[in-house]
Amino acid sequence: MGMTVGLAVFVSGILATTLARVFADEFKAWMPWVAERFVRKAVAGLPEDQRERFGEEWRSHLNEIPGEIGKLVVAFGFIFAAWKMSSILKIEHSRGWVRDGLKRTVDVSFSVAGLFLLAPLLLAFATLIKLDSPGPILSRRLRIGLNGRQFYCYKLRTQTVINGVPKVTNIGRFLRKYSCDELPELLNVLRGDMTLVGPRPGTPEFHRFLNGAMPGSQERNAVKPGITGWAQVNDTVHPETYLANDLYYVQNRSLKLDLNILVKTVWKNLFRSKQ
Amino acid sequence: MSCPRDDVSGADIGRVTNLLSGTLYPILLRLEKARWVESSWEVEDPHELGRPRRRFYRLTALGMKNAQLAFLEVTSTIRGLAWA
Repeated sequence: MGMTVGLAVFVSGILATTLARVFADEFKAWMPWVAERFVRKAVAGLPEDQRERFGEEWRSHLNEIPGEIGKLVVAFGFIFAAWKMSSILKIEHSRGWVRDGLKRTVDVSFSVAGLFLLAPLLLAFATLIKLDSPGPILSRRLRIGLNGRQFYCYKLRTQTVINGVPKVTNIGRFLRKYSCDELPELLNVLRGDMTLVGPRPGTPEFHRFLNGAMPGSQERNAVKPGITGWAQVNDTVHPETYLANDLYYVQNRSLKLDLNILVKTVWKNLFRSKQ
Repeated sequence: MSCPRDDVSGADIGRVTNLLSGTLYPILLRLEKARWVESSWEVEDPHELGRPRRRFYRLTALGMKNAQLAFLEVTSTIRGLAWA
C-alpha cells in the first residue's frame, strides 16, 4: 500500500515537472506574440494620428519590463490606457471644432462692423498720410501665419524714405502711439489670414530665432495670429514671458478669454498710451 | 519630481510611481495636453539599438511650478494636521 502511494507520488511528481517545463517553454515562446497582439489591439483604439507614436512607445516600455508575466500584465493595461486616452483626445477634438467656428463668426462680424464704423477715421488717417509724405496709404509686410504659412499683413504707412533712410513720419508717430496703424489688419481678419485675438504675427526672422532658441515655440503657430493677444495686454518685455503668455493663450483660448483681451486692449490703447 | 531635469521613459515613471500602464498613460497624456510635461524620442537610431525607441518625458517650466505648488499644498496640510 505504502509502496503504491510512494510510486504514484513519484510518477506524478516527474509528470508535473515535465509538464510545468513544457508549459513554461510554451509560455515563453508565445508571450511576445500575445503581448504584441495586446499592443496592436490597444493602438487600434487610438485616433489615427496617435497610433504610430504610442505603438513604438509601448513596445519600448515592454522592452524595459523584466519578466514575462509582468510584460503580459503591462501589455494588457495598454488596452485600458488606449480606451481612456481615445476619449480624452476625442472630447478635445469636438470642443475645438465648435470653438474655432464660433471664433471665425465673431471675427467676420467684428471686422465688418469695425471697418464700417472706423471708415470715417480711416479716411481721415489716409488723407493725413497722403498729405504728410509721398507714398501709398497702406504698407504690406510679410508675416508668418497659421501653421507657418506666409501672408502679407496690412498696416497704415508710418514711415517714409528720405535719401535711402527710413524715417517715421509725424502722423506715423501719432498712429503708432495709439496703435492705430494696426487697424487695416481688420482686412486680414476678414480675409482669414488673421483673427482678432491671437499671438502677434512675427517676421520670418523672428520665427527663425524663436524656433532656434525656444523649444515649444512652434505651438504658437497652431493658431491664427491676431491683432491683439494675451501678451499684448500683459505688459511683457522679456522674450520668455512674451512666449509664455502666447503659449498660455494657445492652451487656454476661449471666447471668454478673447472678449477679456479685446476689452483690455481697447482700454489700454485709449487710456494708458505707450510712452 | 525628485530629479526633474532627467529624461525618464514611461516605464521608469511606472516603476517609481507604482502605476500600472492602464492608469499611467492616460495621466501622462493629460499632463502633456496641459503642457505640464513634454516628451520626445530617444535620439539614437532604432536600427542600431535593435529595439524600439524610448520616449522620454520631462517637466516643463509650467509643470515644475504646478508640481511645487501641489507639493506645498500637501506639506502645509500635513503640517496643519500635526499641529492640530
